[in-house]
Amino acid sequence: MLELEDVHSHYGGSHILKGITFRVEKGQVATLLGRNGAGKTTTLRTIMGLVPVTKGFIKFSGEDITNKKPYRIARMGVGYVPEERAVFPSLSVYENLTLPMTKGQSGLWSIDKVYSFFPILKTRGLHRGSQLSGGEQQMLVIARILTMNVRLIILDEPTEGLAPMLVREIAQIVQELKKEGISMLVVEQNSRFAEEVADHHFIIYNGRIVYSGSNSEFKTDERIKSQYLGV
Amino acid sequence: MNLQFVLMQLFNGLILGSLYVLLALGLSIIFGMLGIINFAHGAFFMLGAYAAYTITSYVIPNFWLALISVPVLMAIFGAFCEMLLFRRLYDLPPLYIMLLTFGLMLVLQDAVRLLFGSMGVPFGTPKSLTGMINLGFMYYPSYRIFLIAVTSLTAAAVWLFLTRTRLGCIIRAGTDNPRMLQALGINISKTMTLVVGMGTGLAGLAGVLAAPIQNVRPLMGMDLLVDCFVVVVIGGMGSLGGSVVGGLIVGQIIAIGVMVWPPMANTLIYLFMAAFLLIRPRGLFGREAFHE
Ligand SMILES: Nc1ncnc2c1ncn2[C@@H]1O[C@H](COP(=O)(O)OP(=O)(O)OP(=O)(O)O)[C@@H](O)[C@H]1O
Ligand SMILES: [Mg+2]
Repeated sequence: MLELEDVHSHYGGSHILKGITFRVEKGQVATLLGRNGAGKTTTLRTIMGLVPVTKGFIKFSGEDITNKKPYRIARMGVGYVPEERAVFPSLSVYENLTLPMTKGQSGLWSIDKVYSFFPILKTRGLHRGSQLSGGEQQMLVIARILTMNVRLIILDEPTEGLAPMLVREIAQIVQELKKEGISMLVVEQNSRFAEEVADHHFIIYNGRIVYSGSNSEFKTDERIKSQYLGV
Repeated sequence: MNLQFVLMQLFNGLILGSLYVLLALGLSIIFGMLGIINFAHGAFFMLGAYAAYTITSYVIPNFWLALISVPVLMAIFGAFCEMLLFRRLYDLPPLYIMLLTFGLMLVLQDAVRLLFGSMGVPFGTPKSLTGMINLGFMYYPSYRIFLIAVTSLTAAAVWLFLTRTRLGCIIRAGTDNPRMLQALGINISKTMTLVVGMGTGLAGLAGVLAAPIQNVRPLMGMDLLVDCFVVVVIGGMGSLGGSVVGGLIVGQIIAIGVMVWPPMANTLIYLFMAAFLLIRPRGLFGREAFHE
């Protein structure tokens, strides 16, 4: 589904990603774990075309997407939920949701289906983005990319700053979306959440992937957790 | 000071305010979408007035033709500026585009000075709109009433476009967060061209409308632009509603200033802005997010 091969990228003069290689299989939920500043967000932004790739390549469902424009990558079916959530505050919830919909696109995800997944958003349809709580915003940004008919969702720290109850709710949503056949790459600090939702884990350290393991391997590998995640 | 005079001044404030609204709306959407202050905006306004002058004096002496064609021509001009100039600099820090717009302002002003002289050119009120209208409580020049009507209609049309259409929705989202739009599959480079074109067209319209009541001269946009910065700051950077309300407020402050103490009229808006920002740093409708 998604494949990165020796991907490098820079912010100005500083070399941030130093050869990232991993792949997310179709229908799989994978997490990208790592300490602060390890390069998790940069990896997602690089996949999305928001940071240029200086070496290596990225493929999405067999097609080369290296250094393609972000809107093209999005239209191929990659949905990005950034760390800062990025709800459009001056748009209503409904407008936020329908913004990515393009005309003539026979959506698998009609607005009604999206509402049935996120009933809370239906009741808030006419509210402005700025009036939502943190949890509602997180729901909205996930719901919003569904209307693009995504096949891969990349989530940057979806549980950050959310109360435990909401974290559980997000975990449920991730699992339901997986059942719909959507693949996911999730950046997380919360390794409990990661173990609950994911099939596979990658750990990034200093711009390189240093660990790759299935969920069952990862769960019991206390050594790797303490070495790279400080758990 | 009689009531007639006060009413007259308030109406004059409304005229000035309407021009501010047209300019500030353009400044605001360009600021939101491109993240820059467009220093050439005043020059676009001036160019609109000169375009109207050129059409009415050399092509067809018909104000109505100018009123319709100049905004369209200016919008095309703005779109070209975006495609040929601004676009090359989007990958650099915003300061570079701002410098470019500053340079563009100087180039346009000097070009007009070379072509038409620095003294300015005469521009009469269109014949069918000379004379006064009896408003019941006072007489007021017909052209000025017309100006208020046209700007109100235009502002309303822009408002409907921005709030009721999908393209408008994309522009409003872009004023919130242009980068995120791309990640949602929206090609913002077309939107950027449209936004600069639209802003320039509005500035051009303001230029045509102002031509009969202001001196048409190369620097006519300068003062207005500085006032518009005050409008945008009071209204809240990037807020479209703020541009409208801010424009009307600043127009009235100047009008009141002229009644109370004319030499201070322009300074008054800065005092007001300073006082206002102390109470509400983000302006009327601005959001905190703009002060990162
Ligand atoms: N815009 C930027 N310009 C320059 N350097 C940056 C920029 N953004 C991030 N960095 C640097 O790149 C490195 C990786 O940052 P990144 O945001 O990818 O880390 P992260 O793993 O997402 O961390 P966190 O857990 O804090 O979100 C850090 O050292 C950071 O300082
Ligand atoms: Mg991060």
